[in-house]
This record gives sequence, structure tokens and C-alpha cells, in this order.
Amino acid sequence: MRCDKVRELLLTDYIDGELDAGTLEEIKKHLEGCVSCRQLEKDLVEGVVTPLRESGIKQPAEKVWVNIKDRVEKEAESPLIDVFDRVREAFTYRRPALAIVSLAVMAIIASVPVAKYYYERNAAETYIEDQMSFFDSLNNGGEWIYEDIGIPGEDIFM
Amino acid sequence: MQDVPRDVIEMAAEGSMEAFEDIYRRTSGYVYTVALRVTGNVPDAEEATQDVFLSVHRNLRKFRFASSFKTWIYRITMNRAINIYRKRKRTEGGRVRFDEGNELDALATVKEETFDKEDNAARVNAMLEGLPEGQKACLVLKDIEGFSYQEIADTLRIKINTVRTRIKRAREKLISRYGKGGRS
Repeated sequence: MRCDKVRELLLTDYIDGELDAGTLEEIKKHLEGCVSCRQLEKDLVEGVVTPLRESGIKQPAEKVWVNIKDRVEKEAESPLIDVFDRVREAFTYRRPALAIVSLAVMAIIASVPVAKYYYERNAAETYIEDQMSFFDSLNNGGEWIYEDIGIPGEDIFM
Repeated sequence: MQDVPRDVIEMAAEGSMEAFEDIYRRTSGYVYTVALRVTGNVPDAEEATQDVFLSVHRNLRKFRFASSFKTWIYRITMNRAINIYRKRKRTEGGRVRFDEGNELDALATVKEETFDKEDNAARVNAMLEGLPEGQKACLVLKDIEGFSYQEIADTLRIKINTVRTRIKRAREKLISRYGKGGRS
């Protein structure tokens, strides 16, 4: 196995115990005969992995549980308490892209009633204009053609 | 972290404060440690821990046991801790405080030569501080919590090869700074 492949595995699967037995044996053999890869293993273990793994688990101060218990009991008494936190929780995103998509969807949903209003207003204006043209036509004694079906207006009402 | 027994979770979901406290006692050390390593300071880690358990309490009824409880609680923790860390970075103009009680002092300026066992916590926070969030999250779950690559992938909802790549890049970066027994 070449050094570059060994180095890659040293930094990941080897040190993390994720290798199969065969590959593990290959790497051990390589390390026996390769000074620079052995040095990398040493640096990795002593300088990086051991300090992190030895940092241990820490316990929070007891006041944290006291606060949590207090909040939980208050929420049980009054479901509306901490409503801001709940809303924040519901709209908290790790990925900005997800937040942008959500905003876009909300904008589209919000625009539907506005679009509907303008569509209906336009339809009403068109209808009124048609009616006015028709009555104008009758008042002036001219021939009015119902545009949609191409029949003279007076024929429709006879 | 050992997975919490199903009956304890169900009792807590039904409103038992004793069962909820049992969950807290079993898991709070892990939640707090992850939050501490991600945020780098005690007040933010305490705030994250509090938020995580309030969120867990509100959502216990929705937990369907499709994934492990451990994975679920670590996911909530990582999301909350990263959000608090980002907020802190924004408010401090990119500068994050390190004040782990009396344990940490002048962290960012500590010279690598001065590291010893007493300030290993300071060293760990300094090491993690220089990493991008994604790499930091993977490394914390691997080296501090002892997760397998698959568990990290499940917790962070990313591909296992992404986990491998992030850990490799994080360690390459750290080894260039802290290799050779902590002296570069």
C-alpha cells in the first residue's frame, strides 16, 4: 500500500477503529517499514486524538436543572408561556438555504389572495366596460356586435 | 451515552417529572459537553443545555422511536449549540470568548508550548475553535462522544463519506498546528 493511501486511512478509519482486519494488517506492515508514516501516526495520536479523547464528559451546574424544571412546570400550568421560544424553535434552521426556501413558499402563499383580488377586479372592470359599450351602441343606433360569438347585439335580445 | 429505556421516555412523554429528571440525569453530561465543545464557553453551553431539554420535553410525545433517542437528542444539541455559537460570533464580531469557569483562561492566546494536563480543556477548545462548524461537529461526536461514523452520519443527517472527509480535513488541520506532542 502506498504512503498517500496509508496516510489517508491513518487520519480516519485506522485511528477510529473502522477498518476491516485485512486492511488493518496491511497498514501495520507498512508502518513497520515507513518512518514518515510512523511519525504521522505518533503526531496524530499524541498531538490531536489523545487530548480530545481525554477531555472527558463534564456535568452542568445544578442550576441548569433547576431552571429547566421551573420552566417545564410553568409551561404545564400555562401552555401559552414561552410561546416566543416555541415559535423560534419551529423556525430555527441550520441551513440558510432551507430558510430561504421557506420564506419563498410563505411569500407565494401570501401573494395568492392579492393575485385573486386583482384578477377579480380586472374581470369586473372588463364586464362593466362591455356593458357600457353595449348601451352606448344602443343609444347611438349603431350596430353592436357581441364580440365573443360574432352575432349582432339586437339579434341576441330579440 | 447509553440509550434511555423506552418505558422511561414514554412515562416522561405522559407528563411524569420523575421520568423526565431520569432522562436529564442520564444524558445531561453528554449534552452539556457537546455544547461546551461547540460553543467554547460555559454560559452558552448552559443556555444550549437548557434549550435542548425544554425542546426534548415539548417534543417527547412526537418521538416515534424510529431513530435512537441518543441520536435524536444529539441532533437537537448540535443544532442548538451551533445556532448559539453563530449568534455569539455575530454579536462579538467574529471573536468568541473562552471562559470555562476557572478552568479556562486567555484561551485564544495560549501558546502551544504552555499546554499541559491542567489546561487540556483549554487546549481542546482552542483546537476546536479554529475548525469549520461541520468539521467540529464530526470531530466532537467522534473523539469526545465516541460515535461510529455511521452514528455521526445519522445524527447530522449527512453521508458517511462526508463524515470521513470532514474528520480527515479537521485532523490534517490540527496536526499541522498541534502535532508532534502539541508543539508545532
